Amino acid sequence: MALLDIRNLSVRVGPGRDALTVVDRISLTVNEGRILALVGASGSGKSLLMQAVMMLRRDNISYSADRFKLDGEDLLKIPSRKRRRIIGQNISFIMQDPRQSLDPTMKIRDQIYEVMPRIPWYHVLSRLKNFFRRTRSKTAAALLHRSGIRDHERILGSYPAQLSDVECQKIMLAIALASKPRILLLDEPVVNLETASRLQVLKLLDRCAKNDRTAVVVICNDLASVYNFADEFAFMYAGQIVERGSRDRILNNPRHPYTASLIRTMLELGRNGRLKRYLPVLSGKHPDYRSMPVGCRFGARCRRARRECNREPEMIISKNEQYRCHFPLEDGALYEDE
Amino acid sequence: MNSGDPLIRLSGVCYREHSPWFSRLFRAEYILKDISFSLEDGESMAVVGDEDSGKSELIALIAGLLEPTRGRILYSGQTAAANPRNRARNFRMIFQDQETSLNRKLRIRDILQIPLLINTGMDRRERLERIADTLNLVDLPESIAGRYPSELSHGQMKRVSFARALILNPRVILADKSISSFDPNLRAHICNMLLRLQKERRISSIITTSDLDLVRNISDRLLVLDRGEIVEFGDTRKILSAPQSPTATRLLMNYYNEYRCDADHVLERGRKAVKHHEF
Repeated sequence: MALLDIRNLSVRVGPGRDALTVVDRISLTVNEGRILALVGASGSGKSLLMQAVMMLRRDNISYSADRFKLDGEDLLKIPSRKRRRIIGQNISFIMQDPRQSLDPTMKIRDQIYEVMPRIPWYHVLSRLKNFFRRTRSKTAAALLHRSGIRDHERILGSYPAQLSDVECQKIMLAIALASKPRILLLDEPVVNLETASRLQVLKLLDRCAKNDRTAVVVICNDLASVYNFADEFAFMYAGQIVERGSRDRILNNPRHPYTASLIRTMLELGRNGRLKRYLPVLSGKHPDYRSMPVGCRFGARCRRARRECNREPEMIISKNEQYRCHFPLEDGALYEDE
Repeated sequence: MNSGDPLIRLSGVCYREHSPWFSRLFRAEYILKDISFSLEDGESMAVVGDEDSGKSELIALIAGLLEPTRGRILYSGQTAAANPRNRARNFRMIFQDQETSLNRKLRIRDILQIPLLINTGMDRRERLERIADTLNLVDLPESIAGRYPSELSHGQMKRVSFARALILNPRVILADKSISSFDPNLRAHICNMLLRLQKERRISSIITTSDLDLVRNISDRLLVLDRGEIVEFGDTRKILSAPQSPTATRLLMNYYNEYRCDADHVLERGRKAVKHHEF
């Protein structure tokens, strides 16, 4: 059974009647021990979807869903206070900008202690207090070490403003792992990192998934940086998931034209050959949420679009593939089309 | 300004953060040490290196955001002090953090207008035309001009900062990490745009990125930095096919062998079969 099971989640942004539906009826299942990469253009609603999964309250943003089950428990039917506790205990979320998520007035040490399980009061009263203090700092150092930081003492004693972006990102990872989450959501964790640190972070995520059976959802707008590590891919376009499937299937036989275009761009860039050649790009623009096209949202940029595409395609779900297209690409069509 | 002068020439540039005299005495750490190179007109360059190798500082020095501690930078054969307008007009920077680099209180139209107002004597209609052209160039709808930065998505904000750099028709675009954080389609678009600008208008670019595939495609020259020192500088293709220094070798190894090895056998068929795309 899926660890997280969401049906028809919609996110509306804006006040009252003028609200725009940005994330439109998305169904998402997240499995234990798997890495799911959520790939899509900027502005396709990936970050909003993650915030909706965390049920973060924000001004002007409202969520609705038909089903929201975490480990078999329906979160829509329980009081919000309890719901927030369950989500907080089970899901960790790293936002896009690590520097903004860290408290600038607290030392890193205290920020990590804050999320670690509390020391029971009887231990604090007893002489064991110092013992637990020590284990706590050891655990904090171990967490930092795990996420690829070598000089713990300096990091633990400093404020976020004294550290670089990369260190902040790794600290956020350590903080997210401190509460031993069952689901880890990351919003573009590697985008600002250099290749060596990227590898470190991705390998850490891999270990989390394989050893601790954590379900990892990585948002990434770049296919190339995650494709060695993800087990599954979900592609988002204009607030909808357009294709989902296992890594090998997607990379070899994409069904949706948008997926195919991303893979083609990646391959073309990675190809050894003549310098200074133009890359294939999609023509047109990502649709505006204020004036969403009727029917298939990718239709305006799709070369295969026909009259039937004026009708909105349903999600076609078969055994190992899910896609939302009237005219899916056949096997091997990736390299012949266009 | 003679036509024979290189586009940009750095000679013996050192940089360290400004600090109080006592720390300068006891902990004189240079972020950049003795950087010298020159770039000819129409050539584009990429800077690669590890974190804290001083890539960002190098870009900021060229853009004039930082002052070199020692050494000097010549823009088309002149120092910035001799001809400050030249640097401001022709060496345009794209900032890494698009949220803080765009003024939240101004509409996009006004953000793009400011460089035109300062540097050119265009009237209102010409300015608006130029803004519309530039927005088209970076694949943004013209309706965006009336909006505020907070109403845009991250990617759109990035494109707006790109448009701001392009709006004066500069000779060089300086981009610090901004290109690699675009989504793939937009990155390909920007990459094509840079190539087109290079070929048609001879606008060169100096970029820092960790994406060596991108570097190979758009840059003529490659500069490899290691802890503030140049370890390798030369033709991109030469360095990427036969790196001489351990730093460059390590970067390449990391990128190609570890970072991409698994998928290669899956994609081998694809790599061979992808046809060339003409535009």
